[in-house]
Amino acid sequence: MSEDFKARLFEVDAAEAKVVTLQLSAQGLYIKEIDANLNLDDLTIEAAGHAGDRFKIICGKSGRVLITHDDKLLEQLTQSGSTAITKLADQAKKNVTQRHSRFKRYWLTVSAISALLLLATVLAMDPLEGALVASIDNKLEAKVADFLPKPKNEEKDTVQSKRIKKIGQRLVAQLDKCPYTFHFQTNKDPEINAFAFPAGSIYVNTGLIDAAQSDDELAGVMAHEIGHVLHRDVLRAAVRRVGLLSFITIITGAGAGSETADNMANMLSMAEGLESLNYSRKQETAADIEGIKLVTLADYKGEAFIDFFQRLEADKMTKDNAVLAIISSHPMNKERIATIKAELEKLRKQLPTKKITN
Amino acid sequence: MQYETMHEGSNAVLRVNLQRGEKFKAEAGAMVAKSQHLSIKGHMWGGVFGAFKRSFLGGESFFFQEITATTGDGDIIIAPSVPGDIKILPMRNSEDYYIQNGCMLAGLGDIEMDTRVQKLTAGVFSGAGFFVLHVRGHGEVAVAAFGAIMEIPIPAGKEYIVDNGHVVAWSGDLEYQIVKAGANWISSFTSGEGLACKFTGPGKVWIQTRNPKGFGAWVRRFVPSRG
Repeated sequence: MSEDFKARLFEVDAAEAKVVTLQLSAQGLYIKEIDANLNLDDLTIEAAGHAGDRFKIICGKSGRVLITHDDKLLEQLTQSGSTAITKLADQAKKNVTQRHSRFKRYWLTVSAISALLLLATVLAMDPLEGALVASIDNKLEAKVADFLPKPKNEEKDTVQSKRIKKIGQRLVAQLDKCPYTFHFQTNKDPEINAFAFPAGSIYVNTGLIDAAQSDDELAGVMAHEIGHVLHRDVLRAAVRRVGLLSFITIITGAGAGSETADNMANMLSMAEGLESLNYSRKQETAADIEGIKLVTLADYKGEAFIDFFQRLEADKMTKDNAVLAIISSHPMNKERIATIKAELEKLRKQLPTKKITN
Repeated sequence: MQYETMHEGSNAVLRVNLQRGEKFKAEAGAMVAKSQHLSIKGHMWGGVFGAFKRSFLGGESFFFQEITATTGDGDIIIAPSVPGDIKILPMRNSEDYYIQNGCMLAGLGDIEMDTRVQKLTAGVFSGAGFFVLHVRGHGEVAVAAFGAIMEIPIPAGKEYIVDNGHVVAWSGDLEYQIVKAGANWISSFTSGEGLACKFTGPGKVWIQTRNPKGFGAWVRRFVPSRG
């Protein structure tokens, strides 16, 4: 008695299959359910499916198509005695093997490219940072500007905005060489926060201005944001967010269809990344040190930066967490306080004889 | 287990009735409402490695939720996060399907799910990414999409071309390759269609009537730019 094999049968012009039982004999391939016998010489066999993990048996005369995953059927077809079918079955087997090895090669290639890009992103950032001119930051800001959160109520020529500009200018005046043009603006938002864009636009929320008790405290936060810009942390975050290759494509406008939905999606993704920036501890420490330098040189009280954050930490119990967003992203822990104090100590020993430069 | 899609169209939901002891798996966070007798727990479909592959490579949730009628019969309503339709794909004839990342809503029955790597060109240009979900087993799977879902039957040897942003799922028996949508490269890009997926039958492909990325780009045109 011949062995049964399961297959899906597609009649001519049908996209819906029915499961059938096949039996192989010297007379041909018999389909039990429809009582039809397919002559072996009428059949062609090929690898099928998206992954090439199955076989397609096509009957030239009737146009019927059978699809099966059963290797045993193929094995038996190769031993059926029909020269033509043996050759086709052998070829189909080879095709499946070739497809599998091609898939493996694709997979290895993709893995290797991904690993290289990841490595390049990590390793190339520092040399890249030196090699990229500052205008890249301007381009980055211009490219993602439309996608970045629009300051809700950017305030101009108010008492608060004048105060912020004055503090900002006093801080920036301490920079000997700086490729960026800083702009300091206020943003009408009760959240206690400040944020920097890649090309030097720094926004201070009115919530933060209200919470600060002195210009020294405001200067500490603003100098910290200037530190992020000088260290190109926003640029790094953008590259990390979309990958080195996409970043270059977006900035240079290279590649076909730079305005395609895909590219737009990439830009949006990058803007989303900038909106919810989470800098590493190392980046935060570096921004703290840069900020403290500027604050000290501009003759503001460096300790006020620590006091401000410690007071906000104490307010945690009474104020809404959403308002105190800056605390969750910049916790003033013992380690951070120690680093800032040590830097202050060092600066005081150096000043006023030596002007700190970047 | 009995199930039905309700409010078909742009606000479709899937209602599943379970008898005590029955269970099924659904996308994490898909529950809208449920009876008190049903319990929900996070489930790493396909084990830790499978969940990792699906999440890291396929862009799907690490956890799916397993819904079980623990203390009695009950029903649950689940819905996808995007406005769109739900389609039930049958697996009674040992069919298997490939599903676009993010379109899998629920596995109703004894369903195996894994992540399959695509060909390089398909991975880069199909819009589905390098990895797609592959489901097989006995039962049915529910897929969700943005907009309505259309079923396109493709008989053996026939071809059908679908824009790469509109593919939701396709039969495992289908073959597909990436082609230019126009007659030549210039017309492909000037027509705004670019690249598309060419499916060759036999089998079926399910498409979504709206392109999520295209919609995102359209919405962004009306978002006021920063002044």
